[in-house]
Formats: sequence, structure tokens, C-alpha cells
Amino acid sequence: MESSRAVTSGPSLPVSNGAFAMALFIASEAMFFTGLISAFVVLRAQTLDWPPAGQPRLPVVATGFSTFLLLLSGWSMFRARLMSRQGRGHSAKWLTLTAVLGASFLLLQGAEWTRMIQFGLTTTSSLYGGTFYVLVGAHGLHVVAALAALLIVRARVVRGGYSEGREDALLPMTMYWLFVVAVWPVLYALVYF
Amino acid sequence: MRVTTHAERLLRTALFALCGWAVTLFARNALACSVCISATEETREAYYGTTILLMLLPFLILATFGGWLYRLSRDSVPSPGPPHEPSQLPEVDA
Repeated sequence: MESSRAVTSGPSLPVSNGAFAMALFIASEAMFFTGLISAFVVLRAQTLDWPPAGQPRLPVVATGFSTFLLLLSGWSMFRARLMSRQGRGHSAKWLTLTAVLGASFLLLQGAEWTRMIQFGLTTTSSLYGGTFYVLVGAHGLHVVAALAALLIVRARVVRGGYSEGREDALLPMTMYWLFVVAVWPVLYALVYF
Repeated sequence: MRVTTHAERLLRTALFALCGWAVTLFARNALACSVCISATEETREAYYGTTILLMLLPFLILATFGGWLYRLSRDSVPSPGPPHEPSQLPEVDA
């Protein structure tokens, strides 16, 4: 009886199916961003003056502050996962903080884009503008998706949707959020400097 | 129902291959060099650097996740209990 169960169940992964699927998804996302970064690096190397004359300069300090907020949200997401082992109330509090920090990052980025467009930097104004909006916009869309997923996870945590003993219920969400956070400093260093 | 013979299938495949090859006679040259518009040293270095990065990244990702899974599976294996000491064994009367 015991031997037949061992044969049918087979070897199991040390992580949940959700975490494993998220790892595969992050792998494809990493390739996607590396492709964009590679295109940016090659295009930038072809241009003698970067940023081109007549185009507005990107706000390094203001974006530095929003970078700090996003990094802080990564830390709070990490804390949320740690706290999920101690009780749903603590975990929900840290998830809320993460969502607020992520939303603040998006709002600051939106305000920055509005100013850039007013100053004449659009996707068609130059290669500089096109690469800026593609790279930063792709990341912004990922933050929007991560924020939506985070709000769903938070609502589920508050309702008690994750049963006791599922300590790694927040692991896939944490993995994705930390990936989105980790990609941004690379983009910031490449595009803004 | 008509049965297709082996020779007919072979002839059909050959005709398709011939048509495919004939299309290439009318095709114009395609410029696939992504750095041909700029011949500077910086462009060449950027092109080679990013090509190497894109080639190595899948291996890096596999190694990272493989190492992570290996570490998790290694840590999840229960450690063997303490060995039986002779004093704990039940005494058997002779």
C-alpha cells in the first residue's frame, strides 16, 4: 500500500506550484527586460550626443526619490511575508504599506511623464524620447500589474483566505514584487545617467 | 477513395520544395546587421556586450533558480535521529 502511494505521488517540489510558476514567469520577464535594455544600449551607443540637443533633461533627483520609495516598498513586502507567519493582521499592515509606496512611485512617475510631455519629450520627438517611454513605460505597466495583484492578495489576507499553515502563501507575490523593485535601479542607472 | 502512393507523395513534396526554392530567386537582399548604420567602436562593443549578456542570461537564470530549489530541497530533508544506545535497548532475560 505504502509502496503504491510512493509510486503514484512521485517526487514533489520543495516550493509550491504557485512559487514555481512565478519563478518561470520571472525568468521570461527577465529576458524581456534584458532585450529592451540591450536595444537601448545599442541605440545609445550609436548616438554621439546623448541626450540629444534640444531635448529636455530627465529629472534625476525627483526620480531618485521615487526610486527610494520603490526600494522601501521592496523591504516592506519582504516584511509582510515574514509577518504572514505571525498573524494576518501584521501581514495586512505591511501589505498596505507596500501598496501605498508602490502607488506613490507610480504617481510620481506619472507626474514626471506629464512634465516631460509638456517640455516636448514624446515617443516621436526623438530616439531619446522613444527609448525612454518604452523602457520606463514597460516597467510602469509591470508596477501597475503588481499593484493590482498586491491589492487582491491583501484583500484575501484580510478576509483570512489563506489557511493556517500555508506560510508561503505570500511567496509568489513577494517574488514578483521584489523582481519589479530590483529591475528599476538598473533602468534608472541606464536611462537617467 | 483514391489511395496516394509513396511516389506521388514524394513528387508532391519535391514540387513544394521547388516552389519554395523558386521564391528565393525573386527575393531581394535583406540587411540584418543591427550595427551597420554606425561603424563606431562604441556601437560594436555595445552590440557584442549585449549579445553576450542575452546569451548568458538564460544560463544565469537557470543556475539561480536551480540553486534555490536545490537549497530548499536540501534543507527540507529531515535530519536522521540520534543512534540507539545500548542502554536504551530493552533487557532480555536469558
